[in-house]
This record gives sequence, structure tokens and C-alpha cells, in this order.
Amino acid sequence: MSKEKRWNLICAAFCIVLAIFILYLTLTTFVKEKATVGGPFANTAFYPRLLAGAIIFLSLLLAVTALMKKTKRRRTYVGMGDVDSFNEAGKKELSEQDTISRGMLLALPFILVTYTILLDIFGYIVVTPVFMILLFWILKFRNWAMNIILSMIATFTLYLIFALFLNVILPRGRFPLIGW
Amino acid sequence: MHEIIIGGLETFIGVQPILFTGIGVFLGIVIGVLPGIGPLLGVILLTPVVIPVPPVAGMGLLIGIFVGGSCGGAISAVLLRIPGTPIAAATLLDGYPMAQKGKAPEAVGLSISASALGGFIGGIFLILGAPQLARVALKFGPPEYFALTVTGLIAIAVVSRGSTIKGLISACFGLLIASVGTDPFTGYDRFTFGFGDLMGGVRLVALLVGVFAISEMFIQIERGGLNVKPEIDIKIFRPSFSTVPTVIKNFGNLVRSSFIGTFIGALPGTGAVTASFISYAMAKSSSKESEKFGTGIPEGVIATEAANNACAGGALIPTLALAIPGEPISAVLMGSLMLIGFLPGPLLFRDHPDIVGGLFYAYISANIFLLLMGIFFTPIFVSILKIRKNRMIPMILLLSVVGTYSVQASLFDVWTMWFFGMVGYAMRKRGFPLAPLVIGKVLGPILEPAFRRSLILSGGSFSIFVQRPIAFTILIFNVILLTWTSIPPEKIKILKNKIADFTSKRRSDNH
Repeated sequence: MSKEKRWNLICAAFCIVLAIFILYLTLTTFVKEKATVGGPFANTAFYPRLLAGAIIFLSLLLAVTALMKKTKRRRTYVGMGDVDSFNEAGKKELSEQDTISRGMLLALPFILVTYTILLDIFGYIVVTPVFMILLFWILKFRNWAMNIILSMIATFTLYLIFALFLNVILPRGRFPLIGW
Repeated sequence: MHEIIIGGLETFIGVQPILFTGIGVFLGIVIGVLPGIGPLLGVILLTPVVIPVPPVAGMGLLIGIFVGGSCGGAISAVLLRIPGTPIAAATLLDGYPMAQKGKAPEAVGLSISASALGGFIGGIFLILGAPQLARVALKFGPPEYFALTVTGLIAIAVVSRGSTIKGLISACFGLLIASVGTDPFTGYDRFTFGFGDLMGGVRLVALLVGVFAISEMFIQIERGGLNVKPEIDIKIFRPSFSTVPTVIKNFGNLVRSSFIGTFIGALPGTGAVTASFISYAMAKSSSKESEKFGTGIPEGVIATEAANNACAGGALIPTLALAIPGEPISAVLMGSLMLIGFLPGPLLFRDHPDIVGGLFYAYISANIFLLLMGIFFTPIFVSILKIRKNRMIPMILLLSVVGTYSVQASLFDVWTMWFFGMVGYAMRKRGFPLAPLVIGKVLGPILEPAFRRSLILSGGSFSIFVQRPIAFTILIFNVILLTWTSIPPEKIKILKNKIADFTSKRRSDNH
């Protein structure tokens, strides 16, 4: 079984499970709320059920076509703003240099989550510079002086723009004295 | 029409709208020049700014980014052979050879003036076309609206790269995400899982930033080249206004390309990339010196740049008049308009002609700004080419967090954003297109009420979709669209050959 075929089957299965979960919700929480009685106007559950049904149908179709199709190369999806694939030369140049390790890549989501948690506790002004310095460092920006200066500038400029022009005070944290 | 033109002028003439449109164009060009982030990401990242400022000023900013971003990519395409955005990929064909011949300033100047003039022509089509379309659409009832919205969704799913099935699944999930929150008809909560923050639905900005910006940053990080400085030893230059007459001299080419751009932009599912390639091909085939295309001639640059900027004007026609965005950028524009309380569609033209007119003026003046800024600030834009990815990515991540937070001053939205960032990343990896998901989320609030209102009209019977002639025709068209695109291209070829055989036989029989 080709890699793509296997992934398509996994995706189809995953979508079906999700759709069944949605159906389950409309049959439990919706019923508890008494939201499923009445005609099309009052029946809140009808439309989501229809969509969940469509997803199950389409996922089965995806699975069937994946099983029936002979292995062949398909065009992969080019994302929005996905530029390098339009530029073969640039792609080769870029992909071999300055990558970060697999471990670091996996660590990134945890860093982002930690940042968001700390943002709530200590506030924007305290946490953001540290976060930026760390991010720059991970992405191989190793000139310390420039790194720290840029992180500070980015943090404070954004804070001021949002406070002065858009009237949004970024998170202050739970200790107002540190986080102002 | 009168209210649109006069009322629009009144809302647009003011310090804020004009200033914001100008800033938008400037930021748009910068965003277009930077590799990896295009006008879509730019419009998404600045959506939060729209909320606290006056409607036309905020939308002017986004339209400015749309216009500037559609052109900015040309600068990096010409100078680096890396289109800053896929939109500029076709410009590279003649723009880069031109720069190689030492005519870089001319190539950049041509792309800017062709973009601005093309965009201007697109704007004229927008002003003439959109109100007419809205007038027709005013007669539509819920069943017609339902059918039309389904067309928009199917078209997006069908043309998304990758498979149609995956596109449709993605669209269904988008519609489901749109159904989260308090049901507008009955007031019951759907899929809120007890979170009070979800009662108003999944926040559009959090979804957009997550799905597009965050996932894109991860893909960029994964791809590497983080600390690479683009090797350019191009002198900082300033193109001259003399390129404007050159473009005007190619009047036929300009008008044809702009028309193609507008038309393709107005079709659901297609966008600036398609428009510029088709326009390039048309220019080549209708030229007397078609063999010179690709060697660095002005006609090639004019054809692609005029088309891809006119496309923005075309894309706004169905977005504003029918509330059917044809591609992700206009979907985001439509979403932002809804965010500040204006639902696009025929009623917007009837009830708020001044806002519609203001948007028209914003679009037209964005193209004027494009010309001026493009000519005067090119040195700045060229120097931006030297920015490395590892400086840019953390900044964009920070801007994403801060921007998403600022909409409601809510960290819940930031969590939503991270969640959808992961979703978007996984979808890209497995070949699920993102555009249908987002368009599903934007169109959901139109599709569901249209669907349920239709059923109320008919007392719960689905026959209403068959009995109304317009709705029925559109639905039949949807079915044809789906079946046509699900036939593999090889089979279509066989079918075509058979038909050709058949007709030639008939012809020989007749003789």
C-alpha cells in the first residue's frame, strides 16, 4: 500500500469518527436541551446532522477511491503563500540550509503553549521579550545583541501601537505590579 | 447608483479612510515582497485593526493590502526570480529576463504601472457591475440564496488543488464550525462544550490566523533556509513614471488583460494566479511576435500584472453583490465586513449605499496609491528583500497572538488560534485544501438561515428547491459542476476524441 493511499484511508477514518461524534452530540446534548423537537425552524439539530451525514458520505467516497486507485503520483497541495514550490531553484537552495532539528520543531508547539499560559499569569510586558529571544534563538538568529534589541523593540512597539491607536491593553497578568 | 457615487464620496473623503488606504497599500507591497507571506496573510493579520476604526477606513486598509499585495510579489519575481507571492509567478516569465538584461528598473516600473492601470480598469468594472448584479439578486429569496451559496462552496472545493472530495469535506467542516454557538433561530447552544466563550461562535479572526498564518509559519520553519540572506547585488533604484506611457501604448493588451483579470476574478473558485497565466497565454497567442515572449519583453509583464490586479476588482463583484466570495482573500474581506456589522449582498447596496460607494473609492484610490508608492518607495521595498526568514517568523507569530487577542481581549481566542493552527498544519500535510474550510465558515451564517427559511416557506418540504425555477436551475448547475469535475481528465479526452470523430464522420458523410 502506498504511503498516500494509507494516509487517505486514515484521514477518511478520522473524518468519519469526527462526524459520528457530532451525530452523537446532536443525539445527546441537543436532546437534553430539547433542541431537537419541531419542524425545520425549531429543529436545531437537523442542519448539523445533515452536514455530518455529508462528511460520512464523502469520507467513504474518499476511502473507496483511495482503495480503487492505482498508485500514481498526484499533485500535492500548494498552500496559500506557498512560494518556494513555484521556484525550483530557490527550493533546492533553501531546503538544504539552516533547518532546525526535528526535536526543536516538535518543541515549538510546547513553547507557544507555555507562552500563552505565562501570558495569562505574568502579563505581556514580562513574558514576551523572553519568548521572542527564545524564538529568534531557536530559529538560528544567534547574534545575541541584535536578538535582544529586536525582541525588545518588537514587544514594546506592538504594545504601544495597540494601546495608543487601537485602545487594546494587552494582557497584564495576575500580578498587576509586575505586569502593569 | 447616485447614492453610491455621491454617498460613497462623502464617506471616503476624510483623513482616516484615505490615510488607512494608503497605509494598506504600503503594507501590502511590503507583504507581497516578503517571500512566504502574500496578500492573504496580510489581510488576515490586519483584520483585528478593522474593528475599532470607522468602517470605510478599516476596509480601505484591507483593500489596500489586497491591491498592494497583488503587485508587491512582482518586485521579488523580477529581481530575485522568487515570486513573493504565487500571484506573481507568471510575471517572472518576462520580468526576470528583462532584469537580467539590465533593465530591472524598467521591469519593476512596468509591473507597477500595469498593476495600477489594470486595477483601475478592474475598479471601473466593479463600479459598473456590482450594483447591477445586486439589483438582480434583490429578487432572490431564501431558496435561491441557498442554491447560490452552495455553488460558491462547490466551486471553491472543486478548484482547490488536491482532490475535490477532500475540498468538499473541508467545506463541510467549515460549515460545521460556523454552526458552533447559539442557534440564531431558537437560541439553543450548539457544540459549545460548556465554554461560554463559544456561545458567540468560533471567532473568525482566531480561525483565520490559526489556519493560514500559524500553519504557514510552521511549514516555513520546517522547510528551512531560516538564516539565508538572499544574494542580490542590485543597486537601489527608483523606476520612473515613463513606464506609464509605455503601458498606455499597449492599450489593447492592457484592456484585454484587465478584462480577463476581472472576469476570472469574478468567477467563483478561480483567482489571480489563474488570471495572470491565462492572460499571459492570450497575450502571447494574439501577439505578432509571440516567439519573443519569455525573453524579457514589456508585453509579457503588462499582460500578467494588469490581469492579476484587475482580478482583485473582479473578485469584489460577487463578494459584495451576492456575498459569494470566489477565493480566500475576498472571503476574509467579506468576513471582516460582517465582523463590523455589514452583511454583504444586495441588501448592503440598498441599505448602506454610502458604505458600498466608500469601498469602491477605496479600491480605486488604492490603485492610485499603488502607482505613486510603487514609483517613489521602490528603494524601500527592494531593501526589504534582504530580510531573513528567522527575523520575520517570530514577528508574525507575535503579531498573530496580539492581533487575535485584541479582537475581544480574550486569551480564549488565542487558544482557539493555536488549535486551528495545528488543524491547518495537519490539513496541509494531508492534502486537504484550507480555502473551503474558511469559506465554509464565512458562508455558514448565510447558508444555514437560507436553508432553514426555505423550509419554513415550504412548511418543511424539500420540494421548494425544485419548484422555484431559479433555485432549481442553479442546483442543477451544481450537480453538473460536480459530475463534470469528478470525471478524470483522461476520460474527458477520450470523450472529446469520440465527439470529434463523430462530427468529422458526419461532415464526410454530408460531402
